[in-house]
Amino acid sequence: MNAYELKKAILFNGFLESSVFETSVTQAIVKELEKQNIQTKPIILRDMQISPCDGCFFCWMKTPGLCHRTHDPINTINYDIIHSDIYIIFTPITFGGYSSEIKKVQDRMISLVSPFFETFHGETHHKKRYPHYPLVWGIGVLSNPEPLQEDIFKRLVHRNALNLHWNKGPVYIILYEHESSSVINAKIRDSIRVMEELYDAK
Amino acid sequence: MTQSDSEQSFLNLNNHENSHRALLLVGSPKRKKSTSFLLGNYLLEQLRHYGFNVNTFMIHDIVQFPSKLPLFYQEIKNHGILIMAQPLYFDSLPYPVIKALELLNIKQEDLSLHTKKLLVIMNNGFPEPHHNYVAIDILRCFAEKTGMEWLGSLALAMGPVLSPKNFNFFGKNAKKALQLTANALHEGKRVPDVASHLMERKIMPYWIYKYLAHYSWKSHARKNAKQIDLHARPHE
Repeated sequence: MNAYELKKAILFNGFLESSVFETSVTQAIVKELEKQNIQTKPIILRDMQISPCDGCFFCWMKTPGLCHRTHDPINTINYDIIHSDIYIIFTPITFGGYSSEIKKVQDRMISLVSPFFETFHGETHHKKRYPHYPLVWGIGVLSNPEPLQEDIFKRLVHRNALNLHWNKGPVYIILYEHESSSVINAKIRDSIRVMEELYDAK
Repeated sequence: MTQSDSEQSFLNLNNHENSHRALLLVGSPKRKKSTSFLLGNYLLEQLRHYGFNVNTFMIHDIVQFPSKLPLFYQEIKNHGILIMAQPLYFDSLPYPVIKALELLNIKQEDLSLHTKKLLVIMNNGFPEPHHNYVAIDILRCFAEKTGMEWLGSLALAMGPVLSPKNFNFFGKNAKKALQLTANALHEGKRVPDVASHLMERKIMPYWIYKYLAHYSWKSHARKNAKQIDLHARPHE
């Protein structure tokens, strides 16, 4: 059994523009998680002024664990991430990857891991800085099914999860904009169930 | 900063003229001090020997200096071969590179992207090159969706080892890979498999790289007057 329970989630909305779809899906995710007693903090990234990573590595060398640039809320965001049990990436699938808004935050998450290497899952990764990392849940959106983009997205979520020391496989769903709310809600519920089963087996 | 070979800002080059014009797009925040620039610029130098007209643009300019966006678009228009060189950031491309892709996608018709070719050089700080593959596939997907011809990719591991000072020694395989790539482009071909394999060869044994990396972090921390705990957990 896992020593940690799934209680808190942080949801990063990486859509570049507001839409009824992303608002309704966010509400659906929050609601379904609430049914499992998981509280969600949704963050709409396009509304936040977050600077891009400047590659200085001060967060590893000079101010370990913290970005030295404190003019934006990235340190608070990283605090919330590490104190969450689920890190939700809700994004339009962009050539198989995440949107630029998601990447703007993710690039500055390296302070959450150590600069030192170790072998995990048969390959090199950065050591943990903290004892507990959230499970990565990728929720990607496409207009229509696109196997190539979906495969890249799945692999990206998997690699992100490995970097946060999760080796039970990618937890992700692909939503299509034309799908009905009942289909979307069912996908979300199924994914939450899978997540909980995998988490309990961690 | 853009280093345009000429002040001809509004060239209206046709596809044939563009085919021997290569634009290096550097996606690292370290710009000219980056491994990305080191590799990409070496390729440009080889292409210049073959008579290519070459230029460089720093992708971070489009987020740091948004007024340079029109110049970015014009440089894209003026070149038939785009060489994107960037580091791996959290298993994917750095934010400014993704932003550039989003913007180019919107303007793909204006910029006639379907007449252009894309070559990718990825580098990462892990000792294994396969960490680069998802990022490369994202760029390949971009090429496919915009109708660009995919010229192939080169993936380097242990990127932080390389510098201009040691490039001749530690970069032997990388240089050879880039020379072969330039030759292939000159002949109108894609990145040859032999070049991809050469680029992926280990620069040094893993245990030495790991030792040097760990030593480097510790010595950087010691340079500061006060004791720094590299394992600090400020969010606890």
